[in-house]
Amino acid sequence: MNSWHNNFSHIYVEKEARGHGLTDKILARFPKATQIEVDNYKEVFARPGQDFPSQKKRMKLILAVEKGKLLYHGSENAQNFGLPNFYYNTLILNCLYNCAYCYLQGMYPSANIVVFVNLQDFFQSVQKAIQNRPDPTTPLYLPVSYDTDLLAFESIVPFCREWIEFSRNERDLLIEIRTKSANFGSLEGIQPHPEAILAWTLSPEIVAKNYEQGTPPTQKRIAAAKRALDAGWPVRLCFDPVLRFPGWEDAYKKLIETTFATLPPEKIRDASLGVFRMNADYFKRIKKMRTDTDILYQSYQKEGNIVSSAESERRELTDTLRGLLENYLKPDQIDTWT
Amino acid sequence: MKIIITALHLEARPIIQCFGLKKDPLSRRLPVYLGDDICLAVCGTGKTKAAAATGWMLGKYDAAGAGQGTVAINFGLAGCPNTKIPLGTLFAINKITDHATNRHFYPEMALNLSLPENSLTTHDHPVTKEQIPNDENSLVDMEGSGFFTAAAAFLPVPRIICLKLVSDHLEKAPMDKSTMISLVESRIKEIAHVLQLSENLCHEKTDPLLPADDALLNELAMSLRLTATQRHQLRDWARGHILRKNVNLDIIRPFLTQKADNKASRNRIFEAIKNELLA
Repeated sequence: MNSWHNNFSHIYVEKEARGHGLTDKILARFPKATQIEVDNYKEVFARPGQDFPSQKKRMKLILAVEKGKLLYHGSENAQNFGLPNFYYNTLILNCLYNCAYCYLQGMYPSANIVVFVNLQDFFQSVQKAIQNRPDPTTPLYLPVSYDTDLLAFESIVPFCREWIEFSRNERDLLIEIRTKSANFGSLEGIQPHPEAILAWTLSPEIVAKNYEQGTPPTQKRIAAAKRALDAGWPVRLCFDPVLRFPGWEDAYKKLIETTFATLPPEKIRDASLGVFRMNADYFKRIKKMRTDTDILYQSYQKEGNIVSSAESERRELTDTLRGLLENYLKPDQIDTWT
Repeated sequence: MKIIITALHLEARPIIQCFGLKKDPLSRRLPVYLGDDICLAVCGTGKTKAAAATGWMLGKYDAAGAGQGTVAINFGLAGCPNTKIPLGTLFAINKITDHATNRHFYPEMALNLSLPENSLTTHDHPVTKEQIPNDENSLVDMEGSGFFTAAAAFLPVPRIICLKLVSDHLEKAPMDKSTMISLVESRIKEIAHVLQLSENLCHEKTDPLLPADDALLNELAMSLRLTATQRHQLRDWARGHILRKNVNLDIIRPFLTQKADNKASRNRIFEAIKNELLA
C-alpha cells in the first residue's frame, strides 16, 4: 500500500463555497475524497510552516470564494502583444504541473490548489473593466490561465469552456488560454471563437523532461495545437522561458523545425518569446526550498527586483530564437521579452 | 526522531512497553521516556501543559534543529459525541478547533495512515454530552490545540501528527483505568505502524551536498575564517557546482592548504574558490 496520500485525497471546502454549482460538480468528481470544512481558504493555504515541494507530490484541493481582487493589471514581466488594456485574473491558484523554473513556487506559501467557484463574480468584474478600459480603441486583453494551467484542469473544472462562451458574448474582449497540456480533447465540440486564443508553451524535449515535471512531452503539445488549428482556433506558440543549457542552440533549432513541420506557419496567429526571469524575492524563496535542480543555479544576475541572465546572454538567446522563428513567422507576429 | 506527547501515563504505558522506552532520570519536572529514535513525554492534562511539553521536547530533542528528521505526534484518548462510533476507534485528526478561541488548525495529512479521520475540538475543561451541540461529530480532548500550536512553531506542518482514540461517549461517569489501558493496548499495532510510516516524513528532502561535502565546506570555512555570509555563499555555489556539473567538490580541495593571513588574502582566496565553483 502507498504510504502517501494521492493528489486530491482531501478537499478543503470554504463554508461560503458550499451551495455553488461548481463546488457540487467538483465534489462529485472526487467521491472518495475526505471533505474538510474551513471558514476561510487562507486558514489552510496561507498557514505558516508548509513545505511546497512536499505538498506538490500530493496536492490537496481547496474550494473557495474569491472575496478580494478579481482582476489585476498585467505584469510588466509578461508580453502584452501591444495591447494596452492588459489584465489577468486568477481563477485557480497553483498548477497541476511542477516546473522547476516556475515562479508560483516562490509566490504562494502552499502547493495545494485553490479553485475559486464564484465564476459569475469574475465575469462581472471583467464586464466592468471592459466598460472602463483605459484605451477604448483596443479590446481588453485577458489571459485567464495566468497563475495556473486551466486546460490541464479542464476535466476537473470546465473553466476554459466557461470563459470561451463568456468571451463569445462580450465584444471588446480578447482572452488567452495558455497551457502545456495536451488536453485539447476536452474543448472539442466547442465552436472556435476568434477572440479566444489557445496558446501552447513549447520547450525542447530535454527541457520538458528535466524541468517540466508532470507535463506532456512537447510532441503531444504540438499535436494538440495541430488539432486546435485544424478545428479553426486561433493558436499562439509560446517559447517561454527560453533556457540556456549545453547544446541549447541545436535543441531550440530542432524544436522550431519540429513545430513547423507539424503546424502550418500561415495558420499560426502569433508567438511569444521570453528568457528566464523571476521576481528576486520569489527566486530567493525557491532556492531555499529546492535543492534538486540546476536550473536555479545558473549564472543569473539581479537587475532591480528581477533575476535573469545577463543582458548579453538574454539578447543572444532571444535573437537566436527570433531568427529561427522568422524563418516561419513575420517579425510583427513575434512578441519578445528581453 | 519521533517525539510523542501524551497527557496521561495510562495513554503512554502501552507505548513505553511496546518500544522498551526507558525513563530519562535527568528529566524531573516532565516525565520523559527514551528509546533509540523515540522520545515520549507525559505532559499532564490541558492544552497549556501540552504546549509547554511539546515546545520543551522539541527544543531539547530535535538535535538537528529546525525539524530536520523530527516528527511530533500527539496521541491520546478523546471523547466522542457520536455513540455509533465504537470505543477503541483510532482516528487520525485532520482538523483541530480550539474551543476557547475558535481558531482552527489543519494537520497536513500527507501520509496515508490507513486510519479513519475525524476533527477534534480541544476544550479547556472536561465536557459532557449535554454541553456539545447535537449535530457535533468532532472528537473532544483537552490537549490537541496546545500540542499543534507549539509543534507548528518548531516543525513544518507535514511533520505534525495527531492521533486520538475514542475512550468514551462523553458520559458523566468516568471509565476505569484498566479499561482505558486495554483500549490503548488494543490499538498499539496501529500506533506502531504510524510511527513506522512517519519515518518517511524525515527523508523527503534531497540535497546534493552530502555529509562529506558538508565536512569539506566546514573545514574550508574554518581554515579561511569565512564570515557567515561567505559561508552561506560558499554552500550555494558548491550546491550549484554539483548540480550543474554532476561532480563532487574535489576542485576546491586544494584551497584547504592555503592560509589567509589577513582579511584581504582571505577574500582573494575566497574569490578564487568562487571562480572555480561558478566556472
